[in-house]
Amino acid sequence: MQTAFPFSAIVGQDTLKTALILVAVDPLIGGVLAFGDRGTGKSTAVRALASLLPPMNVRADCDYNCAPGSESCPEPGSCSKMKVVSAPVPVIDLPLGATEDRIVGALDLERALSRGEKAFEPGLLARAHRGFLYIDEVNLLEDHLVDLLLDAAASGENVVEREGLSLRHGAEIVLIGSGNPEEGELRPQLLDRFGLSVEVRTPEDLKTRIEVVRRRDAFERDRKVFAKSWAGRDGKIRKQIDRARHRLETVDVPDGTLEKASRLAISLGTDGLRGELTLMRTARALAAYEGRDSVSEDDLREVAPMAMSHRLRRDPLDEAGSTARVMRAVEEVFA
Amino acid sequence: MERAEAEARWSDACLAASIFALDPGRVGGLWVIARAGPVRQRFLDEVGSLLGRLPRVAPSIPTERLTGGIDLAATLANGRAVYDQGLIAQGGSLLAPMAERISPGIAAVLGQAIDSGEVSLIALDERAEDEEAIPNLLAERLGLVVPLEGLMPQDCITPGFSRSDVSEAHQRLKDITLSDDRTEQIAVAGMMLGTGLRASLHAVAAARATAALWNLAEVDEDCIAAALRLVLAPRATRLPAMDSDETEAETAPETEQDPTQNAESKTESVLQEMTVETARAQLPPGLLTAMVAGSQIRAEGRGGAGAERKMARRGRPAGLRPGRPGAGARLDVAGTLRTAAPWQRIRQKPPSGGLAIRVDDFRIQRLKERAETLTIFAVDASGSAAIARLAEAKGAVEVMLAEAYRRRDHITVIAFRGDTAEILLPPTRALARAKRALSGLPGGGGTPLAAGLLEALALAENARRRGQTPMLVALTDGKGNVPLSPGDAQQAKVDVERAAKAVRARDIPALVVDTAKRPQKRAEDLAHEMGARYVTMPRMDPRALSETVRAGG
Repeated sequence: MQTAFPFSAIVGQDTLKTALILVAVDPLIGGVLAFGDRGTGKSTAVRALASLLPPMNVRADCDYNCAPGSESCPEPGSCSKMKVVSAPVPVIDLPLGATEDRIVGALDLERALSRGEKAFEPGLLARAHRGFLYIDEVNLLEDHLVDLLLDAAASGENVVEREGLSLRHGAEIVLIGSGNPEEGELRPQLLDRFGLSVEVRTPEDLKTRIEVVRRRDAFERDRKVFAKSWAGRDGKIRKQIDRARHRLETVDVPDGTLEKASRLAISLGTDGLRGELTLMRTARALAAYEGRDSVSEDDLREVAPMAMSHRLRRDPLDEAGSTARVMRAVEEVFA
Repeated sequence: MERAEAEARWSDACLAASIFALDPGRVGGLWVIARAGPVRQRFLDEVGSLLGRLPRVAPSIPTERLTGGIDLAATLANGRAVYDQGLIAQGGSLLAPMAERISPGIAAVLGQAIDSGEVSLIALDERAEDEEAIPNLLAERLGLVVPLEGLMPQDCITPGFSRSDVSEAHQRLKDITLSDDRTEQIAVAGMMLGTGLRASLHAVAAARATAALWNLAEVDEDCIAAALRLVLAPRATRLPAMDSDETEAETAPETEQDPTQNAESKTESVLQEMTVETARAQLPPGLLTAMVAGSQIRAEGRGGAGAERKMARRGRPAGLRPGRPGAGARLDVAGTLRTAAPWQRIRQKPPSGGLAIRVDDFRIQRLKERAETLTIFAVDASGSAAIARLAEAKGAVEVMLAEAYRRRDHITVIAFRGDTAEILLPPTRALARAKRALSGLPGGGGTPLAAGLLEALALAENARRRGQTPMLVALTDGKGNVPLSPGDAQQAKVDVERAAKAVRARDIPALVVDTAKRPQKRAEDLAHEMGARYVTMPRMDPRALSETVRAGG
């Protein structure tokens, strides 16, 4: 595998980086949607984060990426005998042309036709288990596939009932969707099921652009050396994420903060409870990441745009961006 | 084209080929824009002399041929699994003829492979109509642009670099130095031309490779200029102000900086001014030509999934048909077995003892999908309409857009004024773009109604070919006064009639919205000639109008 660009060396894109870190701290937040310009390092950031995370233990040849000792493997017999090895957190690309078969897995045609056996060939969901599934151009993906992905990610498992096959396997996946809204939009029903959404823009200030070009050039010239020079900073983030994961359970959410979150959701008119639950979860992950024991109003303030902006009822004629609308509501509620 | 300029373009093309051969991983690809012909052949020979024969990626290639998978035909014939490694795993460079026909799905697979450094791609873009274009996500990743249109075989004399030149340059490549100032120049140029970051990164790689090819120790001004011509200029989304437009040149790059600047960074701004100045001086004479060519080579801007949808990958099942699985089609196992069953006795059993299934037995599921609608808005932005009610017409269109959004329709907007009709927004589902296109619509000038109708008709026919259902909404007062070719007002009227009848003959569902202050006989006649419904704006509010559209024109 090629050396990934170091996470800490990414210039700008702070919101995206924060969002990615927070879903890494608490995968239950449920995925990130990164919409905006092409060539702004969305995919780079995801890969960088995954390579920064501590490696995970897997069985050597298990097709399902299960954690040793877990009982979710559909082939427990062979799996439990395999050696435990350490593997990097997977980042699986979902190509735009992927079929349902490729994603959920399907009847293993080879074995069915040549040996007459009914066997399952795991798909991308199995390969992405315990890692990230990166969907570029998610807005151009068939709606039913997006739906399928969101279902699997939300339930943490992939249930296959097709072509005479019946099995389930773990699919604890953080979905990262990216796309350019100018080329088509995601249905609001699907938008709302991503935990966080961030907008990424091509930086329009010269300094940032120069720095991006310079660092990327240095990286391309010698990936190993470049990665090494940033390893310390990456290591710090890794430790901080690791600590946050442990602290997460104990972070306290004061009643007052809970109430504020609800009022914010109400004033934004978001449907259902998903919005405020995500808001709370994200704020808690932020508090944990920053090493605090309790969620503050500032945490809410900081994560509100990414947790809420894609849940607003769409007013196609409102010129103000949804982030601005969220900020407005935040100011009102916290006034 | 001037002979000297043509020759310069040819040597740029050769340079691009050599840069690609030298550092394919960093530049990602070559985007060759030319129809098949002697010049393109000459260029491909040049590429061939550097890289040898390349595997070809046909636009209709099944995904499995790229990503690898089981070779069904061989597997069945041999009775054991035969794998096809796939072109991507083989690595190296690929050649994609007719790249404008590559589906978004295949483009995505190729794009990922380019990103991960597994392959690099030479795409031959042979577009004929504006409709066809390389999917954006792929075009972005093809660093070097080589437009060969307009070149004559006699222009292509200068030979390019040889294979040994390239391999010597390869030795030098890693030691080439690139000063901070030069890096900055590329970044500045990227900003002035409004290109994405990826293009700047490609430009850096191209500049380094150029220096290596020219046997320089350091990237110099000429290398930067070459990189700008090959990478950035053809992708420009805005024109850098040239000397004739001094004032704009002074302000444009600065305003983007200003919000973050304060007094103490004054030196910095002076410095920056200087870089901008150098960059502008850098922008070489060939740049404008490259940009004019670039304006014709813009990659597709609309949602790319459309073309794929006609293959209907979802929807309700509508029976089985023979065919190969893959590329969106699903094998129907039961159907396949049923087809194979009667033949089992007479076919030779495979060595493994299973069923004898031949490729011809394969049955795939056919799916039917509800046809999509393309609503074409033809907006009269002429002087007469503008004074009367362009603003209201825009409002009406916006409301209808909102409606179309809810229905997930595709929309497209044509505006006609002055002496032409132009497509403001190619078919898309992106409402944001539609609104932006509309709000920037200026009014004034004559009314080339006939041209507007014909443009709309062309779009409608294209939509039909793609399997969409077109629908035309014309917002006009019906007073066409600009004929298709120079002529008088009478000629204009005749042209309008003919265009309207053409719409009717093609049976395009249409709606004429009269935008005149008072209902006009002319608009009503137009509706009649088009076989369209006629509604007047005065009597209805925009929402009622959108109801009418929803009711089906």
